[in-house]
Amino acid sequence: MTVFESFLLAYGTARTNPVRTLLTLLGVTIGVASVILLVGIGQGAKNYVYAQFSGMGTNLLIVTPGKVETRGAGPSFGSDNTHKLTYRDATYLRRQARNTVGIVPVAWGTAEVKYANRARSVNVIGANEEFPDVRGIRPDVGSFFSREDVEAHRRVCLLGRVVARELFGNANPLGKFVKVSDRKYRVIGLMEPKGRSLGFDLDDIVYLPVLSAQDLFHRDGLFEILIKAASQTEIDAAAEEVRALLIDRHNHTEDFTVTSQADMLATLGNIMNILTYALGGIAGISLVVGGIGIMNILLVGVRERTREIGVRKAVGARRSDILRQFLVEATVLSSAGGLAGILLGLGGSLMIRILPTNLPTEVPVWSIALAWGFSLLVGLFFGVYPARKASLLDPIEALRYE
Amino acid sequence: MIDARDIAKIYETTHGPVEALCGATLSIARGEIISIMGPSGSGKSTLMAILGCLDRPTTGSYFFDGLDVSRLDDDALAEIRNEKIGFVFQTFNLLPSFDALANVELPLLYRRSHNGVGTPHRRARRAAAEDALRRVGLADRMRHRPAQLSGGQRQRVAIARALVQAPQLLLADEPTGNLDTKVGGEILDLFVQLNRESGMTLVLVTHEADVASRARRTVEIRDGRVISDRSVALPQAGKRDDGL
Repeated sequence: MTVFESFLLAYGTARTNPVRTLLTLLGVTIGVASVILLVGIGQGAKNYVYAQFSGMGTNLLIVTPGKVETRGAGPSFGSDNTHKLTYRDATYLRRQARNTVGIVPVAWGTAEVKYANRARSVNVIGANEEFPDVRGIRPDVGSFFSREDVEAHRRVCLLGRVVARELFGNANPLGKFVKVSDRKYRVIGLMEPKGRSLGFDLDDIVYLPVLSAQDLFHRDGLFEILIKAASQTEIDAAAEEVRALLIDRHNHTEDFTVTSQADMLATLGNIMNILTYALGGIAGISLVVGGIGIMNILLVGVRERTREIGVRKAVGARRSDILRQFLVEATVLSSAGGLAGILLGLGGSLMIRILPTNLPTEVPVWSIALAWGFSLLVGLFFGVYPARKASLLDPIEALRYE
Repeated sequence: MIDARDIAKIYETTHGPVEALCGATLSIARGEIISIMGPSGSGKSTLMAILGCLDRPTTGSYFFDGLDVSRLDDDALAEIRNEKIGFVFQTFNLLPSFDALANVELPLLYRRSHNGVGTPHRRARRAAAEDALRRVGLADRMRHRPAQLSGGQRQRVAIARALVQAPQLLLADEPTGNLDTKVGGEILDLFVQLNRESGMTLVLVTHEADVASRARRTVEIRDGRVISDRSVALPQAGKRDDGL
């Protein structure tokens, strides 16, 4: 009997009890489908995060106070024991740095903003006039504050779309005064709608000139300094230059961290990959469960087909022949279930992409190969025990079995 | 061809050892028709399993076609069964999900050629199976499954399955036990005819005297021993065979 004929035989056996075969396959199918689907979702999440970060501009550097040895994406909060980053640091960088095209000192806090009898708790970002260009978020009504506005501590502000809608409804906010923590600011513009990014609503923000914001929060330290390098190729040069300049200014200590967009993407990419692997691994467990289902059915099959095994042995089948027959059967079952699972997983991830979840799922070829290969291995592994049991049957007893 | 000497078979059971055969001696020449008789529990099934190389004796020696079977391993026994011994059972033992042709083809799936070329080609196997079915008179039932066949037809398929092996020994265990007298008689006729055509040795295991009477030689087993071994005188046997 050739290997091909063994496969034909296994196919024939599978067809004699289609419902049972289908139920057996289902375990492996669901296992493979969930591996492919979850890996697809993991990759989709990674793509999503990448897209969000690339939207911030790819030649961006971020200087945060405090020295962080392990490069993380987040800024360090409450680092009191280090030098602050100040507006004057930013001004100094602007004057000295050659490889940069924009430098934005950023203050950040939360405050209550009021208009008439409406109030809303929002994020307040203090920035300078270069913010729209550096960060890629621009006003589409009115205009951003000027350098003069910043330097003169003017009480002007721009509102995000959500803030404007919540406070003014359909009325025109331009020229009106809003209260931010009991200080009045004149609305000079509205920021273009940007939607949510990484769970943060970019439209639920009030923008103030950075010095006015520092006045408001009674703080002279900055949250961060955003720096735009002249081009992507000059990012490293810009980072090095900024670092050297600031070390010089901070009494030759490096009490700040310069992070590039690329660094953050790399870190995030690693995190998302680990997430993907973890999801795939969890799904792999269901594949093992599917394998146990195959073993169960094969054991039932060995019992039911005891006489068949006896007949085969009587007419000259060796142990190895019977062993092979059942192993091929296990493999055929698991690989067929695996193929169905691949289709199901691909279909599922396509569905997610079409549905308004905004998740650009992506099924990498390695996950398909891995899931299918693993399902084959599971089939072989869980097929060995029933196959051995069948092959060791005594032909005389098997022939007498009722 | 068969030379069994002082064969004993002891089965270990949960209730202690059971002696199914204790010192049976039997030799059978090529081309003989012989019936083995005995009541149930006499050890005749065990004797048949050993003669058919399905099992090895616990003690004693068994030479089949010059080979010392008690010294062979399982794979070698499987090879002997495949090439030299055909079985016909009382309950037919056909595979229910295969048609007659596939059932008859079964032994050839496990045949190994000695020149290492592998199993017979699919087409050759099919042709041999068709030929065997024709010889038992089932040319028009090849694509039927066992459930679609009568008892006599099923037994003919089983005989064809043995024939396709071109065996030297055909072992039939109560071959007419599940058939009525008329159909059973036809099956026995077929056995005798095949014996005459190809000269294969035929061993009929039975407890029915009229089945046994079809053989020239009858061996009786009781309590694991051969208690009688009678041959009908040749001229008389010749007359009887003619009358079949």
